Amino acid sequence: MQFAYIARRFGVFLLIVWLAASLNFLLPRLSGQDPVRTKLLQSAQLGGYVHAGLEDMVKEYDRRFGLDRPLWRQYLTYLTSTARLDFNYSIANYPRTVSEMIAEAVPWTIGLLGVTTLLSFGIGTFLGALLAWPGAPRWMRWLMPPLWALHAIPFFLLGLILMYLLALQVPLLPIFGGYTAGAIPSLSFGFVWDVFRHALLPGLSIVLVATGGWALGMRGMMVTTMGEDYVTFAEAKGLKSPTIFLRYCLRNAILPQTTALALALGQILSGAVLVEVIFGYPGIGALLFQAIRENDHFLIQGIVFTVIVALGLATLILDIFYPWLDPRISYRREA
Amino acid sequence: MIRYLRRNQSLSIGIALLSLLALFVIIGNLTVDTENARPLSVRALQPPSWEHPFGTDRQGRDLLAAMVAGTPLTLKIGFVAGFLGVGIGTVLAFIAGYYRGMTDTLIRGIADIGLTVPGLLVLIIIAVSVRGGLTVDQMAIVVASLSWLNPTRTIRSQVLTLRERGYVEVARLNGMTGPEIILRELMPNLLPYLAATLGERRLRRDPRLDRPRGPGPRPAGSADARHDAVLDQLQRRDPEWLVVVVGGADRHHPDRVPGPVLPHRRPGRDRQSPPAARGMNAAVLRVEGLRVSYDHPRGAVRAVDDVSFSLRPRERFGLAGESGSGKSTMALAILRLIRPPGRIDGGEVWLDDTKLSALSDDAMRRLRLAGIALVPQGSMNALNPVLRIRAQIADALGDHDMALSRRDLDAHITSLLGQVGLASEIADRYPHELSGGMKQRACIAIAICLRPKVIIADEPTSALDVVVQRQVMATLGRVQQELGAAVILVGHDMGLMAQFVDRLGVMYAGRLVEIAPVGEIITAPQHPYTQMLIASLPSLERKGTMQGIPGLAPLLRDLPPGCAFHPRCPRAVARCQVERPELRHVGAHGLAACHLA
Repeated sequence: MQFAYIARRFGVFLLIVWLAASLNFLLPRLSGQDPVRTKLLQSAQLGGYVHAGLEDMVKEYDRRFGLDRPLWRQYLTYLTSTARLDFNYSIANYPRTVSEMIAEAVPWTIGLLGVTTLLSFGIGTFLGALLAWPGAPRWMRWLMPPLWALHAIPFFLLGLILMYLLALQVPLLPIFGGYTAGAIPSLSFGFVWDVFRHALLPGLSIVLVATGGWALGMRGMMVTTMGEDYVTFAEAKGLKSPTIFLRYCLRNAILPQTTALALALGQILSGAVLVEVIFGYPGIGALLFQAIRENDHFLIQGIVFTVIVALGLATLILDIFYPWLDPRISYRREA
Repeated sequence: MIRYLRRNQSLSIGIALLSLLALFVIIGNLTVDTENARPLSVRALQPPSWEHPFGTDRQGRDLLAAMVAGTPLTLKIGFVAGFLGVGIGTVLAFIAGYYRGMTDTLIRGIADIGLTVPGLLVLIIIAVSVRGGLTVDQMAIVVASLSWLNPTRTIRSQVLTLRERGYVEVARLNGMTGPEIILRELMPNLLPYLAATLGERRLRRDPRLDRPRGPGPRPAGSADARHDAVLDQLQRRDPEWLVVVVGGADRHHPDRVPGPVLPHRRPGRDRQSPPAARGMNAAVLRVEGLRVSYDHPRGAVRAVDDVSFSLRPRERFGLAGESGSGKSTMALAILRLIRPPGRIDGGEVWLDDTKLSALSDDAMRRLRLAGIALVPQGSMNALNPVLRIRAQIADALGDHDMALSRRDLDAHITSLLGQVGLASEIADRYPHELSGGMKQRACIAIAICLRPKVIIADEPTSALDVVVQRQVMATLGRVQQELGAAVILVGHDMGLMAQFVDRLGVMYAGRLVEIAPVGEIITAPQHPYTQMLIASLPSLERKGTMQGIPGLAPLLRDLPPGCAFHPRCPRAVARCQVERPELRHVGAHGLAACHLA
């Protein structure tokens, strides 16, 4: 049962990866562009004259890149190189490879957005649960309106406001980048502290905005859960308030939140674009932005593929852990 | 329409925002020269001024003019994408939800996989790949093709619940075809939901916000919704009584015919004084003049009104009544578990010499389960779905300061399960792995784990089939005898009552209308309502003549004056319409609240 379940989920994951890869392969070819010819024509025009042997050159390049072979052969070659995480060279930053550049950017994004997403999930979920709980302290009711208001602000806007206040008006925090320019990345305390200070502003703007959303969702789920028969029975059992809150209400209300968390974790790689661009954070979002501006096809495709795989991976991990959270799931027919 | 908008906040906020945007475009076009939205290098990067209220950008575009010129395009993309997306989503959702099977699997599969692909990125890829970029219309179509996924999922789950409704079944039986049913039965019923979905999509195009929140309508959070739900439950007009074939004298425990409950009869008394209140030191539980009401915007509703009775040690007392007669509220009120908007506003409950209303919240908590235990209704959902049975028993023991060692705990749980006829392996199961009868037994095991003096069984067999009902009741009876506890059996199954209890109280519209030993009440009921209840029981002699009680249970919010039963009572006289009868002694050992008894 366990094994079949995991195997099935893994199959779905592979399916998603394959779909993503195929999408990457097919879309540019469907668009009818001829990158080699375009590039050569551009160079030729830059050089000031049209080369007589242009057609031959196009043919030669097509042969070198394997573009003259039948589509299915190209597809197979593409799939095998993708499987080896080889996404070719970056066009704008030749001779750097795409996988190299992505590998450099991913830790920054995961570090900033992974931490902030988990943080806002934790705070928001707990706050939301308490907000629905009759036994919660009274002052907590005053917390919800500001959270809602913050949640309604797009986080890049809040980021700009925070930047203006905390970096320009009162210069407490650095305004730009992942670490001070010129600092040498190392595991020393000074560098880690520097990185932390740089992450504070973008992190704060994300946490402030996202917490309200988690709290809102959790509050709704808690209200529903508190109306369940098993909560009434738990009260009739004479359980202590914290037991009912944690083991009977929160434990059940958190289940849909977890699904949302997995999706949110998967989307941090793509959701980061605006924050990273505004704060000049050297993550994958900023890289994507740069790639789009420079029309760096291979880099864009590599990033998109990475993001989709990340999403699939997040869902896969959730699927594997979900039966442990909700014992009903593994026996249900394919949900 | 206005009322609908008021209830549906997301829709009204959406409409308000859209109107604001439209207003902005209209006024903007009248007052701002959109020509300024073109690049002009001489005015690049100017700060806000009277001429350029928002300043200019790097290429010298006036930002206000650019906003005025750009907003219609954004709105267009939003509209086309929203309507197309919800439109496609709706059609697919109805097809998937109505026809089920392979179609459903296919559509849902695509939607599920599509949802994991980030829309923004696909848009970027397409925009980069298409020669010369995308026009506004193409962009709208691309966005639309990505935005049908969420509506499909949510609307489908709505369709799934709707298609099981009675009127859809009827339409199907009447030979309506699938498309006809979808268009004429399902669509109209889902229109409000669809409108809300559309309104929401307008506002929330950030895919991170569109996370699925599980099927079904949103939780009713507002106080009003809760009031309505409570009232709805209280007054569900459900005149049907579940009945089981029984013979009146066929008692389960013929050797334990109960004596009269009152120590001495006080003939002729028809005063308010509760019948079992005074001088009853023998009573293990006494309820005196208990009142419970639910607050409602249109005035408080009294669900339990001045109810008094007492329970002797080891006695089995039945509380019968229609849905909404207040019997389940009684059970919760005894345990002080009435939640807002409900409240106990009068009366007293004594357990031996303990006055429950005088206990602190924590002392009351300790008394639950240890002194008075509840066997919950139905038990379909009474067990926490994510905890094993063992943990649910251990929680109860732990919070009553019974910190047992692992070995003792296991032994205790095994013996508890054995007492209710369950194997010890059941302790390691989750509730969903148990049958209805097993779940009910597990609930009984939890209820007896601290050897309570009183067990309140609130319709413990309502969701079970007849055979399992009997087994569960036999288990409850056996456990009760082993423990020496008293039992209050709440229910509407007169047959079950007749078999199980010693004494029976009948409730109508929140009041006790008759209490008597069960043999007496079955053979010689005094209150017309009880008489009609007994008469409506099918019997072996009068085969095929099922007789119901005409009329409906009254709305608690709007009780008739005098005797609440008089509109349905065949023997009602003028006095019944003005004067409310109190409980008084009638018959050999019974009490009834009727002027005519």
